[in-house]
Amino acid sequence: MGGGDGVKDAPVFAVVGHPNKGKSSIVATLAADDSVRIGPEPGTTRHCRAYPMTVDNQVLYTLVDTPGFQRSRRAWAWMRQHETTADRHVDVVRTFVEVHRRQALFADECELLEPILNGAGILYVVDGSVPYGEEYEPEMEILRWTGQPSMALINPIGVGDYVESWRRALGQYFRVVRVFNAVMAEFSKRTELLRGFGQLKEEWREPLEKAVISLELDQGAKRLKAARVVAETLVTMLTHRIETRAATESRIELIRPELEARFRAELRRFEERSRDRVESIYEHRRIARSETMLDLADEDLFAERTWLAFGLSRRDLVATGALGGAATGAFVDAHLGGASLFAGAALGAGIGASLAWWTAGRLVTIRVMNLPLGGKAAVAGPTRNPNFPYVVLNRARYHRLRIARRSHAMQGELALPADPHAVLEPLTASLRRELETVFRRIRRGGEDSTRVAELTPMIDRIFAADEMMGVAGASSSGKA
Amino acid sequence: MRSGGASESRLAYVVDLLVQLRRDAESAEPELHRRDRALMPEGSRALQQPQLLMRWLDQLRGAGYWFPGSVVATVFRAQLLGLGVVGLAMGWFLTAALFAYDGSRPVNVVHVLAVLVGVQLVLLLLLGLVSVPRWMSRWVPGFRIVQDLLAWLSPGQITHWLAKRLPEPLRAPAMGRGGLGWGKDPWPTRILKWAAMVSAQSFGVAFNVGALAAALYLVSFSDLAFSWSTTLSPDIERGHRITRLLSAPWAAWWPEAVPSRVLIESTLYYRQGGASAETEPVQWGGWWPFLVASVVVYGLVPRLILLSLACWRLKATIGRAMSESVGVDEVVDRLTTEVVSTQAIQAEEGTTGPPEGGASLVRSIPAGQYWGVNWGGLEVDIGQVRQHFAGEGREVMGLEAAGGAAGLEADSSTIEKIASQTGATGAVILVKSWEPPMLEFLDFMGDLRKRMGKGRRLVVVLLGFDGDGRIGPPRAGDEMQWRRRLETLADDELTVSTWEEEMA
Repeated sequence: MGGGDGVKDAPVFAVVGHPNKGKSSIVATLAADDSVRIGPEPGTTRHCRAYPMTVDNQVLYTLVDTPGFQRSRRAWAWMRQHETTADRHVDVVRTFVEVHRRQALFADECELLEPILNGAGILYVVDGSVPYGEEYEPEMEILRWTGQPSMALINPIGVGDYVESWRRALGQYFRVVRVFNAVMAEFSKRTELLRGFGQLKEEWREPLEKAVISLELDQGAKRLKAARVVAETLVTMLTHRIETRAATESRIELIRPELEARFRAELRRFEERSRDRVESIYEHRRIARSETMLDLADEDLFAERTWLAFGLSRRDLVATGALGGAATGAFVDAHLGGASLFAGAALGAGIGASLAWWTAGRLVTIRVMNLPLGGKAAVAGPTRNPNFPYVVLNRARYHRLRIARRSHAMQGELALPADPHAVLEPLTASLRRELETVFRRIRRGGEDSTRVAELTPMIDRIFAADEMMGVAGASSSGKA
Repeated sequence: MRSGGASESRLAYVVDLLVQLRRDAESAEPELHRRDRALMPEGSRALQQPQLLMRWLDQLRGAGYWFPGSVVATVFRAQLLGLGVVGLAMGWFLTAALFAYDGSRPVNVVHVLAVLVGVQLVLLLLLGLVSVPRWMSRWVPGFRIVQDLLAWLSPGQITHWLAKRLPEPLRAPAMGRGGLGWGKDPWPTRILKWAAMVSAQSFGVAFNVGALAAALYLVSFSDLAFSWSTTLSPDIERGHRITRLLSAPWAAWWPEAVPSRVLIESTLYYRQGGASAETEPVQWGGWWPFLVASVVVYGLVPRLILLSLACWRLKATIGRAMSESVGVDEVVDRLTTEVVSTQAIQAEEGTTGPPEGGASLVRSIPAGQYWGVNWGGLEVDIGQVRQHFAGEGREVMGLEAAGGAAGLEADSSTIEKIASQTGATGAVILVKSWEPPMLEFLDFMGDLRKRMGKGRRLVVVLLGFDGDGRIGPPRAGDEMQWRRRLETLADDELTVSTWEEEMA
């Protein structure tokens, strides 16, 4: 079970419980694996499946998804019949598994008890949204007889709230009882829970602490990778141009709409590709596009609603243009040793603001050029619209935040507020100025890789801030 | 590690790097991370970036990846050697031809200067025109066309010719053809441009060295006579001014190489009359220091400067390509960060399609007398049950417990009791719809049917709960789950109903 070289006695945790009570959801979330089958039918999981947590091929812990109890009363009755003394309870359970291993009657019970008898800690999962029932008691008794360190996880799957009655019942059988909503759990909840596993046994604390540190570093690395993808996309989209040739200007006029449509389609394609890459970084490979088609993040790049939601206001645009222009002018002033009485900065600000105002409404500019050997060329792009990079960036922020916060157990739509401003902090003026400086350099051309290197840490900073804001936004945004 | 000189080795590495980055561009990042991290020995991860990348490429090569870098570097070395040999030979033979003297007519210094210095200066001027940045050329109308024409005529076209013949993985990026969007990496074309410049200037240096060697050889071991002539009226003063101007760079440290007025006047050669009879024989050879100095200063030195510049730029470009190429940051990240995996190693066992069925089971409960079973400790009493089932000729005679905490003996006792009520129409089994239908319940149903025999109805009634925890109708999803599971019993006399329907 598990691959790679393990640390000595790397802990194993068996996720057990009634069928259909969210065991697989817990595993999908903790293992960040959306390949886990989470079926509506009881008994979807028939065999144990191991999810080793490895760092450079070294196993730090292993989660084991197990089938649910199917005949716990009957199994419990068999064990009671063979009970001797309390110190032999685990032997009774072991004998039960040995006797029934090859029989269909207790196939699920044997399958789930095996890793526990081999030393796995117990993560007992119940659904906190339905009432507690006495039918759970035989399986909890069986688990208690194994004598393994255990924790009960109350996973509220539906809308009901029976957490307190569950807590009272589970407290009698398990050392630790926690509430963990697998579908809504963010990364911090996941690591918090892993640290909780470390409390079950002293020897497990160190590998789990190491695992949490590695997961946190990995989360940061993923954010940086996503930032680089977005930076690359921005550079690509801001420098993209297409050209088509024609004999005469009238012919160019005929193909102008087609050229503009092609240009827009290619920009959409760049964005689409960027999304796939970000989803892959966060190991979400099964997000159906149709699932989120109505979501704002998937609204067409050029739709008016998109620009209203994600773009800068015209006032901010003019201010940003002025800031960028002033920065350029100030550079001239600095070279003149202040002899210009800061006229450069003032003039630059004026020009920048005017340009921002003037170009704010235009997205695709098509220029007609004469070719050296005769004929004409129509060139679409690069777009000079000052709002465009902010629309692309804010859409990317919204999408990445959704993906980064999305649990791998989530199979439906993620409930983020429809208004992106509820989860995205507006860019500050100083940040806009920094971005605007790089956007201008991108538009001027030159080293794409240098621009990407400049943009990446800035976007990473924005993403990090989004995560802080996103937590607050999510907590006030309702449920999945 | 590779053998060969440092810069050639760097060239090979950078070619390999660009090829590998292109190969990896289409692969999934997690797989690449695992591969790269596993390849690198523990100690190598602390290396500086260029060394780290070179070690990575060595490890990939060791793992069986094919790289064209060595071939490209070898071809480049061979090209430099070939151009050097050709340049030397051309310089030697051209100078030998220009210095050819059979005693009938002296060597014309103007021809020598025109070929060995003038042509080279014109070529340098053209190179300068081509090198003007494109954005600057827009200010002069027609200048771009001149640049395009010169670029087309330039030996730099060899770059494209060579690029077209590169190994397949390198051909597309070298020709500037990227994939969709990000992937258009400028470094391959830049490296090729400076490599071509190094080649061209190596040829130029070799040519000038060959020319100088031939000139010095012929001056040393043959008796040469130099002169100059003109069809026009000779102007000795102007000729002297020109030679003084040309000699200015070396006049201070080699005054013998500055032609004197006397030399210019005395070596004027007339076709009809020949040379002046007063010319001393030694003066016929007086031009050689000037010619040699001219080739050194106007031929060799500019080429050496350009070669040094091209080598420096090539090295710098290779260095930048090693650190700034698209994808390098990702490689360094992969090599320096841990591979964290939490996912299952094996794929999930055979997946089943979306669940179907459940619609065939009867919903309505026929009139008659039933015996009730409370499965799993539902919080309902006989009074509630009787009230709900009252009417339409139905009656619940009693309620027995089974499942839950009741124990297996209680299950058996309930089955026996119901089976013994031979006058009853059947049994109504109340279940918690929010709990899944487990095998334990199916066992109970099977045993009950076996003991009751055919001809009596079994009715499973699904109970749900409302927001306050009171008994209510089941959720639609729960009902379908129960229906599908109970259908597997294949019992024709099985009814599945819901608490809501009973209330109605």
